Amino acid sequence: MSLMQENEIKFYCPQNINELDQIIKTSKEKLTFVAGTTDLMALEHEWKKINNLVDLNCVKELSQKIEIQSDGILIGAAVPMSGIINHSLIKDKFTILVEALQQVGSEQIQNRATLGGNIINASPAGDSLPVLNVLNAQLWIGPQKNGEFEKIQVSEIMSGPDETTLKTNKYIAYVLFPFPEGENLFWYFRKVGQREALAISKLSLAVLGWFKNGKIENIRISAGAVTAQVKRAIKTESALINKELNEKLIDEARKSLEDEIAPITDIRSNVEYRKQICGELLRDALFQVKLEN
Amino acid sequence: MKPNPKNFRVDAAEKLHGKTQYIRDEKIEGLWYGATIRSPYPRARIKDIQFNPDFDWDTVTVVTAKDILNNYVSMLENDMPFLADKITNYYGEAIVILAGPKKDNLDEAKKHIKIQFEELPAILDMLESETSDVKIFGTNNLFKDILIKNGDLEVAKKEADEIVHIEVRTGFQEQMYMEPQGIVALPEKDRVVIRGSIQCPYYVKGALDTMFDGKKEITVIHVPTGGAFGGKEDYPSIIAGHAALLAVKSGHPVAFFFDREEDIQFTTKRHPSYHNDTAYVTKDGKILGLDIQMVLDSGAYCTLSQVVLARAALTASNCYYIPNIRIRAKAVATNIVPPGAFRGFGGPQAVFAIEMLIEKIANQLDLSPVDVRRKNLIGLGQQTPTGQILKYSVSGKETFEDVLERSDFEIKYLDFKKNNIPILEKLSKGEYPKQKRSDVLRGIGIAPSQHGAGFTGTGENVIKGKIRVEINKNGQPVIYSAQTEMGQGEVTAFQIILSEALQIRRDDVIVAEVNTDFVPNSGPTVASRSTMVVGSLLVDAANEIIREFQNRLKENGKIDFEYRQGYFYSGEKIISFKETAKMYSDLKVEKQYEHPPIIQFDDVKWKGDAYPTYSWAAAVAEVEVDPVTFEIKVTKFYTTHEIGKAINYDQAVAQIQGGSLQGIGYALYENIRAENGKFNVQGFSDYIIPTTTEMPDFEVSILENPYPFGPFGAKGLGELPLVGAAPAVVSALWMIFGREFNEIPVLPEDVFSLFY
Repeated sequence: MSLMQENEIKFYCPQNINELDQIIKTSKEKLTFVAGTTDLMALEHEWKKINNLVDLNCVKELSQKIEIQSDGILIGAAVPMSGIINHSLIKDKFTILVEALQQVGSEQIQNRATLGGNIINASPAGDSLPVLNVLNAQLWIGPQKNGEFEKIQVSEIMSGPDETTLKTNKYIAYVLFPFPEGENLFWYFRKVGQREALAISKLSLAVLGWFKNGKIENIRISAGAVTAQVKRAIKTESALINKELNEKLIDEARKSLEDEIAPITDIRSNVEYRKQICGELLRDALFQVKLEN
Repeated sequence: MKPNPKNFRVDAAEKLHGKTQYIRDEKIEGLWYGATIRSPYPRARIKDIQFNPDFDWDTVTVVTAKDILNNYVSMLENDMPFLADKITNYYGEAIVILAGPKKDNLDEAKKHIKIQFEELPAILDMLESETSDVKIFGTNNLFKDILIKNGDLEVAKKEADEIVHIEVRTGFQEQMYMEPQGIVALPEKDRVVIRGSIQCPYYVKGALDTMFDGKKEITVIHVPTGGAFGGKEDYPSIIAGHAALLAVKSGHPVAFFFDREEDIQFTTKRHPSYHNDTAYVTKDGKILGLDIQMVLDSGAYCTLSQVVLARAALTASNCYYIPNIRIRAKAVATNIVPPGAFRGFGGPQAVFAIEMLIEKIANQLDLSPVDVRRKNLIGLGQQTPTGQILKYSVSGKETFEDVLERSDFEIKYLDFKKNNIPILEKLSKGEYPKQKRSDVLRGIGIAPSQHGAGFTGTGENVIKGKIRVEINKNGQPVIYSAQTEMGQGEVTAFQIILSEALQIRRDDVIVAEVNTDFVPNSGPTVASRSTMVVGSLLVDAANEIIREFQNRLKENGKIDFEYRQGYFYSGEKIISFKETAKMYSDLKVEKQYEHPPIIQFDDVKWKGDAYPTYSWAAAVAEVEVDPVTFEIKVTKFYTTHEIGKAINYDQAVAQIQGGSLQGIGYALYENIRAENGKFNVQGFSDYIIPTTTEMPDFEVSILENPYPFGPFGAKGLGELPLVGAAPAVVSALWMIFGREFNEIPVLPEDVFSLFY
């Protein structure tokens, strides 16, 4: 009863991508694309601003497709996270993604929430973003031009807290996860929240890398909720690449990461904790790698 | 799977299937919505209220302070207005209320009301209240000042080997019931009917009778209530008043349905507390004397703070026998949302404080925290600080020993200490603390607790709760009482008590809807009193029904009937309860409560039986702290409760688990602060309460030690599980870190700051 708002909303339910692109082409108004609506449900005051709602769940390709390609796995941006979590090949090849998604909200949320939604929300605390960054995820942006999607790196889409570079009436169609090129992968994901389920993170850290000839050949590091835009910690990464992993190096990397992030104090945590613990998580990640190699 | 296999909650199936109709589910013809304009300052003078003529004021109804006959909420002090008139005393205090059929239009109307304020200096720190030049209440901002003395502290000071001192603080806690506040007022000719999510319908009726100065008949009807925990004890009186004023003025039914944000920002919470305590102890840990000072931040208006303070003061020595004690307790006014009732009602603050003092005694004297507690536990025949001699149903020692043994406390205490040594060593040197992935810091903590069952002091004799049992045409007894079901299991408990006392089937007992036109005032549903106090009236009523039926049968047949297992029996005649009841379906039995004369209390001198009896508990918490992130998790929770008699065993276990989890939340998760008088949280996403994921493995044990005046020996249960949980958890943190923890909630950031 209290949820009733009295503005009219035109609702679109396109059945496939061509229909979707056609709606966009002919529309003169701003369209609001939604998938899981887990955030929209909680933002009652935003509802009034919506005039045209496009439900991407209707678009089968976007809400169902998980396709193995030669260079990686292509996932529809509107596939519910539980669909990704329960996919045996993803579990096998991209365990870090599955582990991160399992820590999003609760199982009920995972049954509705989508990668596309998490990305477009552009929250510094978005749970999947650090992992998407270390996996070098590629975003396919619609509508198609000459039958082609525009392709950008996930690191290019976030321009600030709750802000993206995506223009009006564009949408994320697919997320492509390229197979990591190295062997003997190591990875780490840790989300720190005030409780285990249904908590917005205080900070998180994703690390992915591999060794070659006893040295770190490549490493990608991305921290959540400690920078305005979730991105890779390039400086810290380069401090580690082509090095042998030892305690001294780990300590340097930890300090480097602490310098590379710019956390704030808010209701969930404070600067000191976020800064230090982010470094501690990297130390934890690298020590575990060291202990196991 | 069978639904609700043990059927221990008669209301469960409907709730689980979503069939229960809460107030928001009701279809009410012509319903208008209420809205509130609140103060944007912690303290300000209201200079003027202007209504912009550009708005069509015929589309809404507006009420301000000048429309109200008696503008105060009838409670203990009558100091709180329904709507602020000249001065507003807290951020969020209601100044103007309005109602209309459309929410959008209401929002628009709100924009066209302009209130001019002059901001005034405010009191935002409870410790500055008493000496502040700002006067919120009386001459010194004290809602209540209590002094309890027993023995002679000077003797303790002389004989003591050691003095141990601690300052302790506890924070606000929000009740976080699932259903936010919701009330509808329906206007009739000379009457207003209130329906809503209400814990104590007669409180609401009393408040509205006073507000309308008796010029309106008031009917209050309890609608299924989705949790309350004390949060719907005093607060509904305010919004019922608002809804009633708007309903009468507009002629429409008016609803106040708070959303979560409005609810968490402006309704009552647990009182924050400050404690400054000194113990005089022997070197082996015997407490000879205690000097306790406590302050409760009681907000802008008195609400129930005087009684909350009384319970806190009377619980200050927890389960310990202290020969010489002085307790000074003050409820002080601040310009913050008034706190009110919350499960435990002052007990959790008091028990947390003394348990931290005990930890400090053990720490300072290098004694085992178990031994210090054991040495001081109170027993049968000993005196409480009010001089009450415990004569029956005392189980502080039994619950303590039971939980120690069941949890293997002593062994784990040593094992965990050993486990922690290398991790702590590395942490203190700033080194990577783990040797293997699974390394964690492990702690184990213990705390006994008690809760005085029923009202404090003479409360029960003032209320004199009354119930009525009527026999209906089908030969079923119907219970009329003001006790409300809010998820705690009251209806089931009452059915069990009356059916067992009458030796009939539980299904044959009916509990009437709580409507103040029909049910007598059996007192509020608070203070862990429904089962023990009102339940005892049900047993009395059952006995009278049986006696009365025997008399009537005898009048009829001139022979004596014996009552056995649901049958009246005499020689060759036997007749069931139901058949008898159908014959005499006009029978009505009323019972009124008064303490047995053995229970006496002087609430001026604070001497005597502060509570008719106490329920006892002891909890052991096993805690893990992640050495990398300092995240704290309670993994195992053992608790032993002695509650006289468990009327509904499975529901008692559920209550103990739920209450303990709420206490764990109080200790580790629930963080809410007033920043310049404004709460810093909006709802479930930033006020973090434990979920099922945070629920530890529970090992619950219930001991029985009958209370002679309770139904089948039962005592109060509802609040006790929350009282001792927080100190047990924090005791485990003392054990891990060997450092003082004196404030809750303890967050990972706090533990982190021990090392960085």
